[in-house]
Amino acid sequence: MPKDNQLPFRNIISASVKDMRNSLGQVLYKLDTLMAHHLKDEDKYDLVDAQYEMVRMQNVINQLHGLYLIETDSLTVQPQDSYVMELIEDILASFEALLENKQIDVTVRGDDLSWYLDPQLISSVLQIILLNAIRYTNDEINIELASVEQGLMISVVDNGQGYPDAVLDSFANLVSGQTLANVSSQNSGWLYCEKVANQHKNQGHVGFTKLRNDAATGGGRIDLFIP
Amino acid sequence: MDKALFQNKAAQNSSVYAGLQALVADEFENSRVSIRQMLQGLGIQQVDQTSSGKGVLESCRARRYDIILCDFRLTGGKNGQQVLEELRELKLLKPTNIFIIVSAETSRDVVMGIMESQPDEYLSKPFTQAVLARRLERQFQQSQALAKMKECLAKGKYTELIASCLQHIQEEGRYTPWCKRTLVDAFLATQQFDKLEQLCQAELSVRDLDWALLGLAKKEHHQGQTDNAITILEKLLRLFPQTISAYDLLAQCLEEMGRSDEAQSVLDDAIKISPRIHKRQKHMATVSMANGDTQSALKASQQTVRLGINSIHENPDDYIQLVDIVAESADSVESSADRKRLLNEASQALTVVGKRFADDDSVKLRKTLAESRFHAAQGQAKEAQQALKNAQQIASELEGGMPSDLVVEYGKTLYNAGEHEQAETILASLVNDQSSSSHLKQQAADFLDEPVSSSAKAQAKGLNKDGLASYSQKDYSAAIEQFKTALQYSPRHPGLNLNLVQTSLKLMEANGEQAHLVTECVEALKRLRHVSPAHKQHKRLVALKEYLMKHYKVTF
Repeated sequence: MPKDNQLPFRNIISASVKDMRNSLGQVLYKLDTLMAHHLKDEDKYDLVDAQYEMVRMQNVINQLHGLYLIETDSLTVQPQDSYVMELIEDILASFEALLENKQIDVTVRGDDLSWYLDPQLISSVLQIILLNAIRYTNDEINIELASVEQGLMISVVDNGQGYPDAVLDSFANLVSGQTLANVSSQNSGWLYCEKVANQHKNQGHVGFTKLRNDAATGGGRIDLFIP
Repeated sequence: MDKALFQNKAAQNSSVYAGLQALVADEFENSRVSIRQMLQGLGIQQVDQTSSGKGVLESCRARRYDIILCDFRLTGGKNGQQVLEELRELKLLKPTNIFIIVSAETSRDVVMGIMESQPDEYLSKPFTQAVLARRLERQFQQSQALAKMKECLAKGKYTELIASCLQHIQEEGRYTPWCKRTLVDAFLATQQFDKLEQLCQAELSVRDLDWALLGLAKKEHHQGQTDNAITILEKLLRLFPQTISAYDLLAQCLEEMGRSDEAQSVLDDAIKISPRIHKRQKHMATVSMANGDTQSALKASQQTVRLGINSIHENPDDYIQLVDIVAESADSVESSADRKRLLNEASQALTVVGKRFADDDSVKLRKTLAESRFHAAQGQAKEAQQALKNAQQIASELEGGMPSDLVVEYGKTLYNAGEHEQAETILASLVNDQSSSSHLKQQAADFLDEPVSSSAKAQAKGLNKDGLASYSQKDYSAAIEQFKTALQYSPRHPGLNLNLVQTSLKLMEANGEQAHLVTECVEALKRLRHVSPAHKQHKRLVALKEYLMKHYKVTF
């Protein structure tokens, strides 16, 4: 790639992402307003679909930009004491119409724990994880919060078909540090989640993510560990 | 605040919110309108809006808002961070008011700047009404629960604050983490160092925490254990490389220990993470200037001025510093176009400072003194003299004459304009005056030691280091040459001159008396007439002088 000093790419990306976020905010707001007006109409379902796609787009922008910041070592990481349940409930609140429309039942279990983490980053990770679960579940999602040895485990379990072996293998390769083969929005999203988890460290322990199929439901299960 | 209110979705019937007043500030009308509608949807009837920082300040003067949602980007000069700082400075925000910075920004320098200004909440765009409702609810709950403590904190009532925090912690209240962090500050302010240590160590035994390590470092620093503070801060930054305030404190500690090169490099790291902080850039400009790194000083000084504009941090000192740094660094700029641009920038800074602080005579005086130094640095002797005369005229019209805190600046200006004797007299009398502040004395003494440009200082410093290396390898002849070259850059430097004397004596001890070396020693000591008994090199000077008189029959 030719070097061109006229192209401060870092700034262009940051300005563009800012613009996209502003626009997304407007679109999401308009959709919300329209939905409130069409509460009983069949149109509402189209709007919910549109909203779902917008939220997906928002996630892709987050993970794309996040990966870029990680790659250039300029990701902001500011841990603070945060109530994890609040983070989860915030995301569920923003997905409310979507979950209702898709008739997905979400259960959250666990204690209202305060944990030392970066709330913005962990929220973006949880959003990616939940959106994945929404996409693949049959009709249930279970979120579990547990204080385990040396850390906090957040597990998101769906009751869908579960992931095929190829996807699970690809995930295992990705968290073991191999270069992404067959880059997709899905695996780059997981890579982002893993990298953000890795940013969280405590007394020699490092955060991580783990994808597998749940023994009980047969659906997908992702664990996010924060030390 | 009633929690059920929000679980009940947007809660249009909210009577709790009905009486509240909110302000929305955003550069884009679309955003303003949508956020305003969201707030109205929550039941807040009074929602004002504005697009500029000035608008926020004016609105807040006219009425007290319970909630302010302010985007980082605003029209006009001020951004959201600057507005928040100014509202606090003007005491237009009560501890119970909620100030939320809203932003679609993603670049670290902006995000870090926002975080460092500590708004009650940082809400990143896009967000939905449901999320806004939840965040507001939490903010209200928190502000109610902490109202008393925040008030104590603002008024410095630490005894009460500590009692309330301890009680909240004992009751396992929701804001226990906040209370613990606040206790650290309260213990520090009341010098209860043992309690601070106990609290932080107890937390650290459970997990790594940046604020607990920072608390311990602050304690060590307060108690004068700067080395310990440095060790703790270095550990903290290994664990939490983005704890920005730890960099600032570490740089300060290193500077206090005379390790100013390291201090500069620490500030450099801090600026890579969070450059948009006035205080940090200012610190960088001062430290790098002291290190003779005029290029870094110039960059930091330009940023300092830029960040000051439209903010409460704007200060005549920033402009004067920029002018002085330009005066010293313009020589080293290679391209003549760049040099010209730089000199223009300095002239402009002089104009701006004159206009901005037009009512302040002491600023006018400082400006005119800086003008003189600026001309002198460019070899414009006539203009330098003229500006100096103007300054003296201004000073004579001031009540009480030349203000005492400007004596050092005045002395430097005199010296640079060629009035060496007068400069020395003034500065020496300041150094020997019991009543003047130790800070000013130090500045005056430093200038008397090295009244040369920063680049000359840096040259001399480097050569002195080489000379010391040669000395420790017992290569005295090489050391003497290196010290002599260094003295061409900084002839009055006490350490350098004494190094030359000491090395010459060492060489003569081995090879016998040599007339030209004795002469070197005498000349070196003559250059140190400005060293007063209070100077840290004075003892060494006397010892070497006596040795010379005794063994080489020299008289002074």
